[in-house]
Amino acid sequence: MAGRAEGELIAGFDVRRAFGASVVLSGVDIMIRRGEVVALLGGSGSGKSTLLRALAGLDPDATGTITRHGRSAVVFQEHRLLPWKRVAANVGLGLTGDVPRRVAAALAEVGLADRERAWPAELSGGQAQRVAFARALVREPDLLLLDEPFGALDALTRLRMQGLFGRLRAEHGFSALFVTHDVDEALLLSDRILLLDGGVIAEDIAVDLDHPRTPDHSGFGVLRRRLLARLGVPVLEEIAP
Amino acid sequence: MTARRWRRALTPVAVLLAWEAASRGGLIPPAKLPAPSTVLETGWRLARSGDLGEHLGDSLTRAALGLAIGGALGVLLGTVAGLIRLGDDLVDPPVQMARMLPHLALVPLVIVWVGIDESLKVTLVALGAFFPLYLNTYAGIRDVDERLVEAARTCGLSTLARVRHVVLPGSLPSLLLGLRLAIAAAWLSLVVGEQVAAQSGIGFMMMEAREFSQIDVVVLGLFVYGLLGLASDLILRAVERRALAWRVGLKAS
Repeated sequence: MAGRAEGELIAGFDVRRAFGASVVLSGVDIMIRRGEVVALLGGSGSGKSTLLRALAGLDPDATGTITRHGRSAVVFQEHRLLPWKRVAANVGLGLTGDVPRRVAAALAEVGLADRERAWPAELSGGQAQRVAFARALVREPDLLLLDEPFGALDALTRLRMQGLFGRLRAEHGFSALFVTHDVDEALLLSDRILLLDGGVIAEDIAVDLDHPRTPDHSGFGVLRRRLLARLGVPVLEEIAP
Repeated sequence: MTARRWRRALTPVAVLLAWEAASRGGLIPPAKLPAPSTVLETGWRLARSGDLGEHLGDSLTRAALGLAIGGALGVLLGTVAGLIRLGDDLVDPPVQMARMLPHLALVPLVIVWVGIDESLKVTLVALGAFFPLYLNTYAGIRDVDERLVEAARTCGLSTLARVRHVVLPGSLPSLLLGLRLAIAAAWLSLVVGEQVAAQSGIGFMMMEAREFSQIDVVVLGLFVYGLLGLASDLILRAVERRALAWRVGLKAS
């Protein structure tokens, strides 16, 4: 455990990134500690995904100091499974050791134990994204980096996947940084919300709500209105049923 | 499905029957175009005497040798140019320039270089097979989804492993398309190559028959070329079904 000062898993200092003349990140400071789930919230084009890619080490043109401790794994908005490999081979990609047993366990955890031999093209969108989660989980990450992981799913599948994420998180205790533009999703799943605006972290908000959370939880609405207002969405008076 | 397959066979069979009837009825003079049954008879005769098998064997050997040489070079250079930027800069411009030439226009030059015997035929087939395989290997590698390569990187795959697990399988459909075009180009090259000072092969058999006005043998040669094309297509389809089994689901949806 040496070198993991204060349980720090990933830290970015003065992270900057510009695409041509347009500056997207202008000096972001960010730190994720062991055990916490952090939502990275922001409007479209605010640079959320850019920041996540920089933290994941996928953007060689981003500048700044990024230090990582422990293992990390990435889940993208699209499942990004290799179409020419069966589900099990996709999950076990790049693994060594007792791969079949670990793959089977990871697939069972996402409820797809019986689809080991399927091709990705035979899966529904939600199933494919669950396989992508299994592919990340099987690496036993300390930190999960998720780029709008539920963004491409239909509303019902998204709710189910959010529930699955909560269960997996409770079981494995990994930390997570997930990008989202969905205020409700951020409030349901995270311990802390970082609001990205103007190329920097504009707000750092702790979410002190009990689990399991629901949108009709007391305190949920207060935070929701505050975040939406901060994102520039005027919140109308709730219409009584 | 099978009903549909039979229906698709209707017109070809009808054309053959009409041709046969027109020949027997005296509508088509046998000196211009013999009846299909005559051609089949000739085929049977030449097959029994062993002549047909010998010519066919020589043609197939030339095609296989040329395809192996030209195809291997095409895939190798296409891979180098597709994967490595330096390779792209050095290899691609001359190949792109050379592919503008119809390779059969090189026959006079190739004769001067390698002579008129076997090496001419093999060289022509190799030239014909090289370009489609080079171009499609190159394009296939370039078209691999960058996001999949990135995902493989997050799974800890090294550059070499990414090439093996992502880039090469991803370019396989395009490579197989290149192979299909290369085989077609190989037959075309043989048709031309075997009419230049050959002593054997289907092309030679047809040339010789024309000298003696054996039109039935000429038409038989055409039939053989057609069947060769059909056979190579069937084999390739079988290969694609196995190698690209992962696309089955895509077709269904």
